[in-house]
Amino acid sequence: MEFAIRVFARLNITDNIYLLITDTTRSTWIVMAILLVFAIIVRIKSRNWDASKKPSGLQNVLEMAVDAFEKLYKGNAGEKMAFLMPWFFSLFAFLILSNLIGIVGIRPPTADWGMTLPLAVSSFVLFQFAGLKNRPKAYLKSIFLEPVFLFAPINIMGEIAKPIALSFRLFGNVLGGMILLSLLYGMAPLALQFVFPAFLHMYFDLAAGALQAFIFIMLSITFVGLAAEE
Amino acid sequence: MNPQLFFLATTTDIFETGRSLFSLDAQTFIDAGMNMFNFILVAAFLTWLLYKPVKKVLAARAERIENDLASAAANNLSAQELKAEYEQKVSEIEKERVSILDDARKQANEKRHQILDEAKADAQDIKARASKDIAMETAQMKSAVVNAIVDISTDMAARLISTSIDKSAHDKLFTEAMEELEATTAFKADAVAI
Amino acid sequence: MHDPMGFAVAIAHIAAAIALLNGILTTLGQGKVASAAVEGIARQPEAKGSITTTMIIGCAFAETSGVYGLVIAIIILFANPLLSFIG
Repeated sequence: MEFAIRVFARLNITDNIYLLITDTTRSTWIVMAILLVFAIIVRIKSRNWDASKKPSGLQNVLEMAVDAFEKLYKGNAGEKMAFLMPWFFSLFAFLILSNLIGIVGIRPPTADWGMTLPLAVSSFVLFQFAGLKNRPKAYLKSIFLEPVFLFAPINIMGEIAKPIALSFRLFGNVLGGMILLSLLYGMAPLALQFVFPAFLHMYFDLAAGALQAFIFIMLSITFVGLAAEE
Repeated sequence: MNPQLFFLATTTDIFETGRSLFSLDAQTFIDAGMNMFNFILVAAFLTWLLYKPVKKVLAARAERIENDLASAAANNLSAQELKAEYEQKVSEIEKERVSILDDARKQANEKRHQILDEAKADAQDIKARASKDIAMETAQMKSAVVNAIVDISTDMAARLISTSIDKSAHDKLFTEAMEELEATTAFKADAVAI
Repeated sequence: MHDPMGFAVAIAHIAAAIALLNGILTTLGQGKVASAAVEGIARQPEAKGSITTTMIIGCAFAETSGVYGLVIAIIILFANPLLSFIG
């Protein structure tokens, strides 16, 4: 089981209570470190940025990314929830890097339900918050009294199913790709292990990883938009 | 770990074999909490260090473009006004030009007519004077011819009286007189032709 | 039944295969989504961007049950909680 979530450290708090640090956490730290270094570089470089000059290089790429993301966000979640944009932007950056990091042989953090569940739950909290903030009465009514009172449990189940489906979608896709590649590396003959996995990596890590990150963000944003507006 | 507490649980020692891929045990939820904390940290840092500067530059650029657009619109408006003003001026100048041209034409026409009239009057004058001169000369000529005829007749009569009358002399005298007369009438005819 | 563990593992593999069978219908549904999207783009090429986004979301929703099956198969194979009752 090369793809199991290994525990690599154990923090003893008392004799009986301890904290296990898993691969997922380590991968998360690596992703965090990469993002943090990148962000610090951007922050340092951003001192020289001038709005009146033509952007170039890193600035251009970042501006394009932020602009495109903003357009996507405002198109799906509306203007009212614009203050959540940084959160989803960070989530997008984190998820893409997490899904793509499998290429270099590090276990993707998102191939663990313990990672995708909190992210999905945070999205759940955010879209419930969006609904309750923008139209409290109508939103509560849409959950508890629509179409009639008897459907309330079904509606509640539907709301709870959203983060579960979100987390399982990301987790299942990334884990499936990872298991397939692990099986290939563990079981395929040596001759097949040189060029052939590159294509599988291209699909399972690059294409599917970016796509799943996009879908996760897109669905979260859409849920926020649906909750916030009529 | 108590299997009754979590509804799916592994009894294997988690530290020996690694955490199970999927289980609803305490470790999963502790991991989830840790990951959530990590991600909130990431989100805060990314927002502060990456998103805000980019957003600031974008906002500054948007503002600058807005200002440029506004000033361009203002410039455009003033240019339009100037253009309308100049067009009006040009049309006024055109009108003035046409009126000046018309005036000039009218004046020239009047002048032409006046000059023509004067010329006609002059010509009339000259003609009248000339015809008057001619008439006067004709009259003079007539009186001269009459005088000549009278002179010749007198002369002839004097000769007839003074000289002896013979047939041949008489004829000769008559012929001379006739020639003289013819010469004067030819002269008169010339004068009339003139 | 002299080897309950082996029996359970064999059954678990069969069960995982059955769990993955819903991939057939999932893929069919995704194919339908994609074909409808292609038709939409052919009819309105200028709406390509929004149609593609909607298609990806529709595919994601159609994929949900397939991913559930995959996760169940993975759990049955690699994280089976019931094996502990035998061994």
